[in-house]
Amino acid sequence: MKFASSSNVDVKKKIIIFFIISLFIFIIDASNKKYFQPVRAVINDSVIYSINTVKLPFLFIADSSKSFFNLFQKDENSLKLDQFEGLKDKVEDLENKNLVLEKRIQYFQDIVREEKYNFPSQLAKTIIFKENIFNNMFVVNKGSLDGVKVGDPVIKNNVLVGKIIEANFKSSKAILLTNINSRVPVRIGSMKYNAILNGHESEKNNLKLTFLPKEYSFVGGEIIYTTSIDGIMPEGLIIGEIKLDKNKKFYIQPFYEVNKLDLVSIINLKKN
Amino acid sequence: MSNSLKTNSARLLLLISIIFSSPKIFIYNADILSYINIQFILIFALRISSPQTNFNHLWFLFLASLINDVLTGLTLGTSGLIFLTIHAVASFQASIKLRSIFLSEWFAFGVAMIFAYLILGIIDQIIGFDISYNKFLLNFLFTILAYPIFWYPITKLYA
Repeated sequence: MKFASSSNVDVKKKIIIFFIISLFIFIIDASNKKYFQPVRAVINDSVIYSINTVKLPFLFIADSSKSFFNLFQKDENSLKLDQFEGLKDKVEDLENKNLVLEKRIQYFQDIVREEKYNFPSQLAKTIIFKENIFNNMFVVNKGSLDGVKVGDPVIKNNVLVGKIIEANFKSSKAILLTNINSRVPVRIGSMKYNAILNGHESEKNNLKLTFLPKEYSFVGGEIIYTTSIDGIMPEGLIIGEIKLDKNKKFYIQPFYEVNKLDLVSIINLKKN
Repeated sequence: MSNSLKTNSARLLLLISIIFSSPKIFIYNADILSYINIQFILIFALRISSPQTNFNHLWFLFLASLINDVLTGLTLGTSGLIFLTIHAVASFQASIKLRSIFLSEWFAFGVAMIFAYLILGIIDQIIGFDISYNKFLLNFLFTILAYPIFWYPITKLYA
Protein backbone atom coordinates (compact mmCIF):
# COMPACT_ATOMS: atom_id res chain seq x y z
CA MET A 1 0.00 0.00 0.00
CA LYS A 2 1.36 3.40 -0.95
CA PHE A 3 0.97 6.57 1.12
CA ALA A 4 2.04 9.59 -0.96
CA SER A 5 2.17 12.43 1.57
CA SER A 6 5.30 12.65 3.76
CA SER A 7 3.20 13.09 6.93
CA ASN A 8 1.39 9.90 6.05
CA VAL A 9 4.50 7.76 5.67
CA ASP A 10 4.62 7.38 9.43
CA VAL A 11 0.98 6.25 9.48
CA LYS A 12 1.84 3.18 7.43
CA LYS A 13 4.40 2.04 10.01
CA LYS A 14 2.03 2.67 12.90
CA ILE A 15 -0.80 0.80 11.20
CA ILE A 16 1.49 -2.21 10.76
CA ILE A 17 2.74 -2.01 14.38
CA PHE A 18 -0.75 -1.77 15.88
CA PHE A 19 -2.02 -4.45 13.50
CA ILE A 20 0.68 -6.82 14.80
CA ILE A 21 -0.12 -5.89 18.43
CA SER A 22 -3.85 -6.52 17.85
CA LEU A 23 -3.09 -9.84 16.15
CA PHE A 24 -0.84 -10.84 19.05
CA ILE A 25 -3.53 -9.98 21.63
CA PHE A 26 -6.12 -11.83 19.56
CA ILE A 27 -3.99 -14.99 19.35
CA ILE A 28 -3.32 -14.99 23.11
CA ASP A 29 -6.97 -14.36 23.97
CA ALA A 30 -8.33 -16.87 21.44
CA SER A 31 -5.96 -19.59 22.66
CA ASN A 32 -7.57 -19.14 26.11
CA LYS A 33 -4.29 -19.47 27.98
CA LYS A 34 -4.70 -19.74 31.75
CA TYR A 35 -2.17 -17.00 32.50
CA PHE A 36 -4.06 -14.52 30.30
CA GLN A 37 -7.46 -15.11 31.96
CA PRO A 38 -6.78 -12.88 35.03
CA VAL A 39 -5.38 -10.19 32.69
CA ARG A 40 -8.51 -10.35 30.58
CA ALA A 41 -10.70 -10.29 33.71
CA VAL A 42 -8.92 -7.13 34.92
CA ILE A 43 -9.24 -5.47 31.46
CA ASN A 44 -12.95 -6.40 31.30
CA ASP A 45 -13.71 -5.22 34.83
CA SER A 46 -11.88 -1.92 34.42
CA VAL A 47 -13.46 -1.14 31.02
CA ILE A 48 -16.95 -2.16 32.14
CA TYR A 49 -16.89 -0.15 35.39
CA SER A 50 -15.22 2.89 33.79
CA ILE A 51 -17.76 2.95 30.96
CA ASN A 52 -20.55 2.54 33.46
CA THR A 53 -19.23 5.49 35.46
CA VAL A 54 -18.96 7.62 32.30
CA LYS A 55 -22.52 6.67 31.37
CA LEU A 56 -23.99 7.44 34.81
CA PRO A 57 -24.36 11.25 34.48
CA PHE A 58 -25.95 10.86 31.03
CA LEU A 59 -28.37 8.22 32.30
CA PHE A 60 -29.15 10.45 35.29
CA ILE A 61 -29.90 13.40 32.98
CA ALA A 62 -32.05 11.19 30.74
CA ASP A 63 -33.96 9.80 33.73
CA SER A 64 -34.39 13.24 35.34
CA SER A 65 -35.68 14.79 32.14
CA LYS A 66 -38.09 11.89 31.76
CA SER A 67 -39.41 12.33 35.31
CA PHE A 68 -39.53 16.13 34.83
CA PHE A 69 -41.75 15.78 31.76
CA ASN A 70 -43.79 13.05 33.43
CA LEU A 71 -44.50 15.49 36.28
CA PHE A 72 -46.49 17.66 33.87
CA GLN A 73 -48.08 14.81 32.02
CA LYS A 74 -49.02 12.62 34.96
CA ASP A 75 -52.73 12.51 35.56
CA GLU A 76 -54.94 10.04 37.36
CA ASN A 77 -55.03 7.70 34.41
CA SER A 78 -51.27 7.45 34.13
CA LEU A 79 -51.00 6.78 37.88
CA LYS A 80 -53.54 4.01 37.47
CA LEU A 81 -51.54 2.76 34.50
CA ASP A 82 -48.40 2.60 36.67
CA GLN A 83 -50.26 0.62 39.31
CA PHE A 84 -51.66 -1.63 36.62
CA GLU A 85 -48.16 -2.27 35.21
CA GLY A 86 -46.89 -3.11 38.71
CA LEU A 87 -49.76 -5.52 39.28
CA LYS A 88 -49.21 -7.07 35.84
CA ASP A 89 -45.59 -7.75 36.80
CA LYS A 90 -46.68 -9.30 40.09
CA VAL A 91 -49.25 -11.53 38.38
CA GLU A 92 -46.64 -12.62 35.83
CA ASP A 93 -44.19 -13.44 38.62
CA LEU A 94 -46.80 -15.44 40.55
CA GLU A 95 -47.90 -17.28 37.41
CA ASN A 96 -44.31 -18.24 36.69
CA LYS A 97 -43.73 -19.35 40.28
CA ASN A 98 -46.86 -21.47 40.04
CA LEU A 99 -45.64 -23.05 36.82
CA VAL A 100 -42.25 -23.82 38.39
CA LEU A 101 -43.94 -25.43 41.41
CA GLU A 102 -46.22 -27.47 39.16
CA LYS A 103 -43.20 -28.70 37.22
CA ARG A 104 -41.35 -29.54 40.44
CA ILE A 105 -44.32 -31.49 41.82
CA GLN A 106 -44.55 -33.40 38.54
CA TYR A 107 -40.84 -34.01 38.65
CA PHE A 108 -40.92 -35.36 42.20
CA GLN A 109 -43.91 -37.55 41.34
CA ASP A 110 -42.14 -39.00 38.32
CA ILE A 111 -38.59 -39.49 39.44
CA VAL A 112 -37.00 -40.60 42.65
CA ARG A 113 -33.77 -38.66 42.65
CA GLU A 114 -30.67 -40.32 43.95
CA GLU A 115 -28.67 -37.14 43.79
CA LYS A 116 -29.70 -33.90 45.40
CA TYR A 117 -28.87 -30.56 43.94
CA ASN A 118 -28.90 -27.31 45.81
CA PHE A 119 -29.18 -24.13 43.78
CA PRO A 120 -28.62 -20.99 45.77
CA SER A 121 -29.05 -17.83 43.75
CA GLN A 122 -27.92 -14.24 44.05
CA LEU A 123 -29.37 -11.01 42.75
CA ALA A 124 -27.34 -9.12 40.14
CA LYS A 125 -27.79 -5.83 38.35
CA THR A 126 -27.46 -5.59 34.58
CA ILE A 127 -24.92 -2.86 33.90
CA ILE A 128 -24.49 -3.23 30.14
CA PHE A 129 -26.88 -4.64 27.58
CA LYS A 130 -25.74 -5.19 23.99
CA GLU A 131 -27.74 -6.49 21.11
CA ASN A 132 -25.96 -6.44 17.77
CA ILE A 133 -25.00 -8.73 14.90
CA PHE A 134 -22.24 -10.35 16.92
CA ASN A 135 -23.94 -10.94 20.20
CA ASN A 136 -27.07 -10.70 22.31
CA MET A 137 -25.32 -10.28 25.58
CA PHE A 138 -25.47 -8.46 28.87
CA VAL A 139 -23.03 -7.77 31.68
CA VAL A 140 -23.99 -8.14 35.34
CA ASN A 141 -22.28 -6.69 38.40
CA LYS A 142 -21.36 -10.03 40.02
CA GLY A 143 -18.20 -11.94 39.20
CA SER A 144 -16.02 -14.85 40.22
CA LEU A 145 -15.29 -13.17 43.59
CA ASP A 146 -19.04 -13.45 44.29
CA GLY A 147 -19.04 -17.12 43.35
CA VAL A 148 -20.26 -16.75 39.76
CA LYS A 149 -18.94 -19.39 37.38
CA VAL A 150 -19.05 -19.93 33.62
CA GLY A 151 -22.23 -21.85 32.73
CA ASP A 152 -24.32 -20.57 35.66
CA PRO A 153 -27.95 -20.00 34.59
CA VAL A 154 -29.42 -16.49 34.75
CA ILE A 155 -33.10 -16.19 35.66
CA LYS A 156 -35.70 -13.43 35.93
CA ASN A 157 -39.00 -14.02 37.76
CA ASN A 158 -38.18 -17.75 37.83
CA VAL A 159 -37.79 -17.84 34.06
CA LEU A 160 -34.50 -18.82 32.45
CA VAL A 161 -33.13 -15.94 30.36
CA GLY A 162 -29.56 -17.01 29.61
CA LYS A 163 -26.29 -18.23 31.03
CA ILE A 164 -22.91 -16.88 32.09
CA ILE A 165 -20.22 -17.23 29.42
CA GLU A 166 -17.41 -15.31 31.05
CA ALA A 167 -16.79 -14.56 34.71
CA ASN A 168 -14.48 -11.66 35.50
CA PHE A 169 -13.59 -10.74 39.09
CA LYS A 170 -16.42 -8.26 39.73
CA SER A 171 -18.57 -8.62 36.61
CA SER A 172 -19.78 -11.39 34.33
CA LYS A 173 -20.92 -11.67 30.76
CA ALA A 174 -24.06 -13.58 29.96
CA ILE A 175 -25.72 -14.51 26.70
CA LEU A 176 -29.46 -14.52 26.17
CA LEU A 177 -31.25 -17.70 25.14
CA THR A 178 -31.85 -16.00 21.79
CA ASN A 179 -28.11 -15.74 21.13
CA ILE A 180 -27.20 -17.89 18.15
CA ASN A 181 -24.49 -19.58 20.28
CA SER A 182 -26.89 -20.56 23.08
CA ARG A 183 -27.75 -24.27 23.55
CA VAL A 184 -29.96 -25.45 26.42
CA PRO A 185 -31.24 -29.01 27.03
CA VAL A 186 -35.01 -28.84 27.48
CA ARG A 187 -38.10 -30.97 28.04
CA ILE A 188 -41.42 -30.03 26.48
CA GLY A 189 -45.00 -30.39 27.67
CA SER A 190 -46.76 -33.35 29.22
CA MET A 191 -45.28 -35.67 26.58
CA LYS A 192 -41.83 -34.77 27.97
CA TYR A 193 -40.10 -34.56 24.61
CA ASN A 194 -36.39 -33.99 25.03
CA ALA A 195 -34.74 -31.42 22.74
CA ILE A 196 -32.07 -28.75 22.55
CA LEU A 197 -33.18 -25.12 22.54
CA ASN A 198 -31.04 -22.94 20.27
CA GLY A 199 -30.94 -19.22 19.65
CA HIS A 200 -31.93 -18.27 16.13
CA GLU A 201 -31.09 -15.38 13.84
CA SER A 202 -34.69 -14.53 12.95
CA GLU A 203 -36.10 -11.30 14.41
CA LYS A 204 -39.49 -12.87 15.11
CA ASN A 205 -38.98 -16.51 16.05
CA ASN A 206 -35.59 -16.23 17.65
CA LEU A 207 -35.70 -19.58 19.45
CA LYS A 208 -35.75 -22.98 17.78
CA LEU A 209 -35.79 -26.61 18.86
CA THR A 210 -33.35 -29.19 17.55
CA PHE A 211 -33.03 -32.95 18.19
CA LEU A 212 -36.78 -33.29 18.71
CA PRO A 213 -38.06 -36.90 18.48
CA LYS A 214 -39.37 -37.76 15.00
CA GLU A 215 -42.91 -38.48 16.21
CA TYR A 216 -43.45 -35.14 17.98
CA SER A 217 -46.71 -33.24 17.71
CA PHE A 218 -47.72 -30.00 19.38
CA VAL A 219 -51.19 -28.62 20.06
CA GLY A 220 -49.99 -25.31 21.47
CA GLY A 221 -49.57 -24.26 25.08
CA GLU A 222 -46.92 -26.87 25.94
CA ILE A 223 -44.51 -25.50 28.52
CA ILE A 224 -40.79 -25.69 27.81
CA TYR A 225 -38.53 -26.19 30.80
CA THR A 226 -34.93 -27.12 31.41
CA THR A 227 -33.77 -30.65 31.99
CA SER A 228 -30.73 -31.61 33.99
CA ILE A 229 -28.14 -33.42 31.90
CA ASP A 230 -24.88 -33.86 33.81
CA GLY A 231 -25.89 -30.90 35.96
CA ILE A 232 -25.48 -28.42 33.06
CA MET A 233 -28.81 -26.86 33.98
CA PRO A 234 -31.04 -27.26 37.00
CA GLU A 235 -34.17 -29.32 36.40
CA GLY A 236 -37.49 -27.55 35.85
CA LEU A 237 -36.61 -23.94 35.10
CA ILE A 238 -39.31 -22.67 32.79
CA ILE A 239 -38.37 -20.98 29.53
CA GLY A 240 -41.49 -20.41 27.47
CA GLU A 241 -44.30 -22.14 25.69
CA ILE A 242 -45.11 -23.61 22.31
CA LYS A 243 -47.51 -21.58 20.22
CA LEU A 244 -49.06 -22.37 16.87
CA ASP A 245 -49.34 -19.81 14.07
CA LYS A 246 -52.08 -19.56 11.42
CA ASN A 247 -50.47 -22.33 9.35
CA LYS A 248 -50.33 -24.59 12.43
CA LYS A 249 -46.56 -24.27 12.49
CA PHE A 250 -45.14 -24.09 15.98
CA TYR A 251 -42.94 -21.37 17.38
CA ILE A 252 -41.54 -20.68 20.83
CA GLN A 253 -42.72 -17.79 22.94
CA PRO A 254 -40.22 -17.07 25.72
CA PHE A 255 -41.70 -15.96 29.05
CA TYR A 256 -39.14 -13.23 29.69
CA GLU A 257 -39.16 -9.70 28.30
CA VAL A 258 -35.84 -8.30 27.14
CA ASN A 259 -36.60 -4.78 28.36
CA LYS A 260 -37.20 -5.97 31.92
CA LEU A 261 -33.79 -7.52 32.55
CA ASP A 262 -32.40 -4.72 34.71
CA LEU A 263 -32.27 -7.03 37.72
CA VAL A 264 -31.66 -10.75 37.33
CA SER A 265 -30.72 -13.70 39.52
CA ILE A 266 -27.74 -15.96 38.97
CA ILE A 267 -28.08 -19.55 40.08
CA ASN A 268 -24.87 -20.93 41.54
CA LEU A 269 -24.65 -24.45 40.21
CA LYS A 270 -23.21 -26.48 43.07
CA LYS A 271 -23.46 -30.21 43.42
CA ASN A 272 -23.98 -31.34 47.02
CA MET B 1 -12.89 24.41 12.93
CA SER B 2 -9.35 24.42 14.31
CA ASN B 3 -7.16 21.33 13.92
CA SER B 4 -7.07 20.45 17.62
CA LEU B 5 -10.84 20.82 17.87
CA LYS B 6 -11.20 18.57 14.83
CA THR B 7 -9.00 15.80 16.23
CA ASN B 8 -10.49 15.97 19.72
CA SER B 9 -14.07 15.99 18.49
CA ALA B 10 -13.28 13.10 16.11
CA ARG B 11 -11.99 11.05 19.05
CA LEU B 12 -15.00 11.98 21.15
CA LEU B 13 -17.41 11.03 18.35
CA LEU B 14 -15.82 7.61 17.98
CA LEU B 15 -15.85 6.99 21.74
CA ILE B 16 -19.50 8.04 22.04
CA SER B 17 -20.44 5.74 19.16
CA ILE B 18 -18.76 2.85 20.97
CA ILE B 19 -20.15 3.56 24.43
CA PHE B 20 -23.66 4.55 23.46
CA SER B 21 -24.23 2.18 20.56
CA SER B 22 -27.18 0.48 22.17
CA PRO B 23 -30.14 2.83 21.71
CA LYS B 24 -32.92 1.06 19.92
CA ILE B 25 -34.45 2.64 16.84
CA PHE B 26 -37.07 0.36 15.37
CA ILE B 27 -38.20 0.60 11.75
CA TYR B 28 -40.73 -2.03 10.70
CA ASN B 29 -39.98 -4.00 13.89
CA ALA B 30 -36.27 -4.22 13.06
CA ASP B 31 -33.69 -2.55 15.26
CA ILE B 32 -32.06 -0.39 12.62
CA LEU B 33 -28.92 0.42 14.61
CA SER B 34 -28.06 -3.25 14.91
CA TYR B 35 -27.78 -3.21 11.10
CA ILE B 36 -25.50 -0.18 10.79
CA ASN B 37 -21.94 -0.13 12.00
CA ILE B 38 -21.50 3.53 12.88
CA GLN B 39 -17.91 3.08 14.12
CA PHE B 40 -16.78 1.80 10.70
CA ILE B 41 -18.35 4.80 8.97
CA LEU B 42 -16.87 7.28 11.46
CA ILE B 43 -13.32 5.90 11.25
CA PHE B 44 -13.38 5.96 7.45
CA ALA B 45 -15.21 9.25 6.92
CA LEU B 46 -13.27 11.18 9.58
CA ARG B 47 -9.91 9.98 8.32
CA ILE B 48 -10.74 10.72 4.70
CA SER B 49 -12.34 14.13 5.32
CA SER B 50 -9.62 15.32 7.61
CA PRO B 51 -6.28 13.52 7.02
CA GLN B 52 -4.78 15.03 10.17
CA THR B 53 -7.29 12.92 12.16
CA ASN B 54 -4.87 10.15 13.05
CA PHE B 55 -6.58 9.29 16.35
CA ASN B 56 -3.58 10.27 18.47
CA HIS B 57 -1.04 8.37 16.35
CA LEU B 58 -3.46 5.41 16.32
CA TRP B 59 -3.11 4.88 20.09
CA PHE B 60 -6.63 6.14 20.60
CA LEU B 61 -8.00 3.91 17.84
CA PHE B 62 -6.31 0.91 19.41
CA LEU B 63 -7.68 1.67 22.90
CA ALA B 64 -11.14 2.34 21.45
CA SER B 65 -10.99 -1.04 19.71
CA LEU B 66 -10.20 -2.78 23.02
CA ILE B 67 -13.17 -1.03 24.66
CA ASN B 68 -15.36 -2.12 21.76
CA ASP B 69 -14.17 -5.74 22.14
CA VAL B 70 -15.03 -5.76 25.83
CA LEU B 71 -18.43 -4.14 25.33
CA THR B 72 -19.49 -6.32 22.41
CA GLY B 73 -18.09 -9.53 23.89
CA LEU B 74 -15.61 -10.14 21.08
CA THR B 75 -12.19 -11.75 21.46
CA LEU B 76 -9.68 -9.02 22.40
CA GLY B 77 -7.89 -7.69 19.33
CA THR B 78 -10.75 -8.39 16.89
CA SER B 79 -11.95 -4.79 16.66
CA GLY B 80 -8.32 -3.63 16.50
CA LEU B 81 -7.72 -5.66 13.35
CA ILE B 82 -10.92 -4.37 11.77
CA PHE B 83 -10.59 -0.71 12.77
CA LEU B 84 -6.97 -0.61 11.57
CA THR B 85 -7.91 -2.23 8.24
CA ILE B 86 -10.57 0.42 7.67
CA HIS B 87 -8.15 3.15 8.74
CA ALA B 88 -5.49 1.78 6.37
CA VAL B 89 -7.85 1.82 3.36
CA ALA B 90 -9.02 5.34 4.31
CA SER B 91 -5.40 6.54 4.65
CA PHE B 92 -4.58 5.09 1.25
CA GLN B 93 -7.64 6.73 -0.32
CA ALA B 94 -6.84 10.06 1.40
CA SER B 95 -3.27 9.96 0.07
CA ILE B 96 -4.23 9.37 -3.57
CA LYS B 97 -7.20 11.70 -3.93
CA LEU B 98 -6.68 15.10 -5.50
CA ARG B 99 -10.09 16.43 -4.62
CA SER B 100 -13.08 15.04 -2.82
CA ILE B 101 -15.03 12.81 -5.19
CA PHE B 102 -17.85 11.25 -3.28
CA LEU B 103 -18.32 8.20 -5.50
CA SER B 104 -14.67 7.15 -5.34
CA GLU B 105 -14.74 7.54 -1.55
CA TRP B 106 -17.91 5.50 -1.32
CA PHE B 107 -16.36 2.80 -3.48
CA ALA B 108 -13.23 2.79 -1.29
CA PHE B 109 -15.46 2.48 1.77
CA GLY B 110 -17.07 -0.57 0.15
CA VAL B 111 -13.60 -2.07 -0.37
CA ALA B 112 -12.68 -1.32 3.26
CA MET B 113 -15.89 -3.01 4.40
CA ILE B 114 -15.15 -6.09 2.30
CA PHE B 115 -11.71 -6.39 3.94
CA ALA B 116 -13.19 -5.77 7.40
CA TYR B 117 -15.92 -8.39 7.00
CA LEU B 118 -13.48 -10.87 5.51
CA ILE B 119 -11.34 -10.52 8.65
CA LEU B 120 -14.45 -10.92 10.83
CA GLY B 121 -15.49 -14.02 8.89
CA ILE B 122 -12.03 -15.57 9.22
CA ILE B 123 -11.93 -14.76 12.96
CA ASP B 124 -15.34 -16.36 13.48
CA GLN B 125 -14.15 -19.49 11.69
CA ILE B 126 -10.99 -19.61 13.84
CA ILE B 127 -12.72 -19.27 17.21
CA GLY B 128 -15.72 -21.40 16.17
CA PHE B 129 -18.25 -18.71 17.00
CA ASP B 130 -21.65 -19.08 15.31
CA ILE B 131 -22.77 -15.96 13.50
CA SER B 132 -25.91 -15.15 11.58
CA TYR B 133 -24.74 -14.75 7.98
CA ASN B 134 -28.04 -13.11 7.00
CA LYS B 135 -27.59 -10.40 9.64
CA PHE B 136 -23.95 -10.12 8.66
CA LEU B 137 -24.85 -9.48 5.03
CA LEU B 138 -27.61 -7.03 5.98
CA ASN B 139 -25.21 -5.20 8.29
CA PHE B 140 -22.67 -4.96 5.47
CA LEU B 141 -25.24 -3.59 2.98
CA PHE B 142 -26.92 -1.17 5.38
CA THR B 143 -23.58 0.22 6.55
CA ILE B 144 -22.55 0.93 2.96
CA LEU B 145 -25.97 2.47 2.21
CA ALA B 146 -25.80 4.61 5.37
CA TYR B 147 -22.39 6.03 4.46
CA PRO B 148 -23.68 9.07 2.47
CA ILE B 149 -25.93 10.11 5.38
CA PHE B 150 -22.90 10.40 7.68
CA TRP B 151 -20.50 11.54 4.95
CA TYR B 152 -22.31 14.80 4.25
CA PRO B 153 -22.22 16.36 7.77
CA ILE B 154 -18.71 15.00 8.44
CA THR B 155 -17.36 16.51 5.21
CA LYS B 156 -19.03 19.83 5.98
CA LEU B 157 -17.56 19.94 9.49
CA TYR B 158 -14.14 18.37 9.03
CA ALA B 159 -13.00 19.04 5.46
